[in-house]
Amino acid sequence: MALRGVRRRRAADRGFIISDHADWQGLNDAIRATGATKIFATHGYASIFQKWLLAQGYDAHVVSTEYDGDDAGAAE
Amino acid sequence: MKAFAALFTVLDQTTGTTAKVTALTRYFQTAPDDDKLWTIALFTGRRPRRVISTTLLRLWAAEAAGIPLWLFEDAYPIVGDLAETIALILPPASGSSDHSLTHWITALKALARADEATRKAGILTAWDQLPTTERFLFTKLLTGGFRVGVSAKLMTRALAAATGQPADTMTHRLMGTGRQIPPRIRPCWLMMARPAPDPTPLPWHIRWTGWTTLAPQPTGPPNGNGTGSGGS
Repeated sequence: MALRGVRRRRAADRGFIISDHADWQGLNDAIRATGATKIFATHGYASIFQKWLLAQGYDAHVVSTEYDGDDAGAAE
Repeated sequence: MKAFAALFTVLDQTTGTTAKVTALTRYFQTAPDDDKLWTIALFTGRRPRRVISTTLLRLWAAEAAGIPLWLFEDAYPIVGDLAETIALILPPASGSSDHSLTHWITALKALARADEATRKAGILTAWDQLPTTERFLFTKLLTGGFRVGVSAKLMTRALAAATGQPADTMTHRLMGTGRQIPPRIRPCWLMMARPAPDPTPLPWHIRWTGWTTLAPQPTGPPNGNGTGSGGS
């Protein structure tokens, strides 16, 4: 909903963000805070995030789960 | 540029024509004259030429955001708009500015003539001074891709409401004539992209007559013999 394109495609009059998801910064901070070295991305822009984590030196993988789909657009 | 950004947000997010006209009218009543003129020009599709290649913009944006270029390139199709991607991906502005729309367009014009290092410095500084919506609009102008749909009819309705003139008069004034472009306006007229011969030149006539002199002019009767000197 932070994106104009998403608001327009959904024909929303007003876009605002109500989310319990972490944003980019939050997600990276959380991973760092856990001290984990092996990360599995399950949904959202999983392959892009995996590529990013690999570049950061993590052992990153994409795992497909049943919790995919509807979330993809809402991940923003 | 804050007022212009607020106007853009209303026009972008509202489908109701009344709300659009109201926002435009309020803007035309309060904005500085130069800003009004640029707003009319931009909203009627007369936007400045591209200042910089989008390839360089991507590089600089990724660099300023501290992310690899591939990540920027992956984010772009999700956002769907280059200027918006840049506006969102950069860290929040560290400074702030209260410059007018005209100031930024003038800056843009100067950057178009500068060498690459100066352009980069100028653009990075601008990005770092502008909040998201203004940053988005500035970048849109940089890429020469500024398109906001306001029909000519809405524009004249708003101008008519703001000036108290009939809409027909405003339509006529918006047309202007090429000969009436005053010298001090000419430079910005010259930098406009002119894709095809356009029967409606820029609305300089508004500026030429002056916003303050838009009050109804005394006119004689149609036959012209009521001017007082007709009898002698």
